[in-house]
Amino acid sequence: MNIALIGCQVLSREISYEVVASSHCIRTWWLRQGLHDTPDLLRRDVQKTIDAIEAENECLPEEKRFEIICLGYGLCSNGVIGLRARSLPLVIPRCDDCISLFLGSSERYLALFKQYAGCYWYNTGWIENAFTPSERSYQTRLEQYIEEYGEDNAEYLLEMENSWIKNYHHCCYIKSPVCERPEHETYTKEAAEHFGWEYHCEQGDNTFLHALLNGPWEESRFLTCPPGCRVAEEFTGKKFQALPVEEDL
Amino acid sequence: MAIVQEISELLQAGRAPKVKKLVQQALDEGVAPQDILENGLLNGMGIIGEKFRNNEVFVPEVLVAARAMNRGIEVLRPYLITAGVEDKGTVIIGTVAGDMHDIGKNLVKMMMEGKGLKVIDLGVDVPVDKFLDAARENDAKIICCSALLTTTMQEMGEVTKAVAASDLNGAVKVMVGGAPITANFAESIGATYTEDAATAADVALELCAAS
Repeated sequence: MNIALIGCQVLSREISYEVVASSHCIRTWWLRQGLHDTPDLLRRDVQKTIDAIEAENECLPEEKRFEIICLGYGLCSNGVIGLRARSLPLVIPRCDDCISLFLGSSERYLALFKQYAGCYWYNTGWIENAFTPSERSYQTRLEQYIEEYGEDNAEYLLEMENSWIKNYHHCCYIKSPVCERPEHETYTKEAAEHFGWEYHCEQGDNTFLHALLNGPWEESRFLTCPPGCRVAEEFTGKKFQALPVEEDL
Repeated sequence: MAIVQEISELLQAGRAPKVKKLVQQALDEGVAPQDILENGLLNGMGIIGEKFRNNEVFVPEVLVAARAMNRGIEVLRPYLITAGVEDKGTVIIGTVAGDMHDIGKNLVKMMMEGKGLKVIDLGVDVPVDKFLDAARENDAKIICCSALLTTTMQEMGEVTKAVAASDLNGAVKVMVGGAPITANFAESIGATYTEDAATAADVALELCAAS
């Protein structure tokens, strides 16, 4: 089977591992990490990529054509709501965000979410690609704010932005099942020490990503949005549903 | 009046100490407190809110402007109370159980206080019962729930259910907001949704006035 995969860069190591090992032929389109902060941009960029894949597919010889588009995204701040499939089915893992994908299941994430109330998650993907809280990263941000908003406002802004830090009690490092980066574990321990959080470590699990890249995409774990449908909100814990698009824009 | 316009502009630039100084100066010059509030502070905050909606400015600009507004209001408050402008209603606010993120909630609180509402802030990770108890104790008209995460937003439905099943049903409205919250979600749980902090303050004011 030929699979087109749109992946968030934060998952690049875990997804790449599964791509190498898969019996399917998978081509990956990477989008930058952090789009979940601006869900409208996430939706726009993923949709643009879907449209480009579908357009390119028309030009491919029949045996090379993609049969399905898989998304390496969860709900991601509702960024996937509104996406539409025109000629290829879209498969999306039913989860809140990449933490579930790194941990192997949505259930495991939600159980840990309850167990470690107020927890900041670290792993190689986030440390390499995202802003992660540390003594040094906040010093850099303070300097930027002083330049932009003046010293008085800069301190206030950091205090406002960082109010969550005192509300958090835990941080957790997810050890990747595909690569070892002990320095990232050390980085997380240092952050825990600096912010006064309890440090935890959980073994990462590629089960969910493996299922995403290999199928079968069972309804309980994945939404399959057929051509002619769009991804719509769903408030019962399934995260999203497919609804027919009334008119083709 | 030029000084009121200047207050609005300094507020938009996030110049809190200058706003505070100029509000006092305006009062000393005999400008009406209501004029300073409406045409200086709230006017400036309204412009920033509009720019935020249009993606022309971002959260830090809104925060420093809101801070400047509050500094100005601190100076104005005794005069507004004397003039009988305050006391527009009481609002309970907090982030729902499991959610520890309060930037948005704090911003909404500042905007509501700017509009003359009394805001009882329950902080973060607030259990359902605590929202209801606080509403009873303070004779509040509104419970405002905030959530940043899709993992915690479902808690808002527990709040609306509890209100509907209690003696507060009909007397207290639930407003919801936060990054993952949509109008559809709010409708599904029977809550009032607003898209941003400035609109939340306007709607809260309307709800209090109507009750």
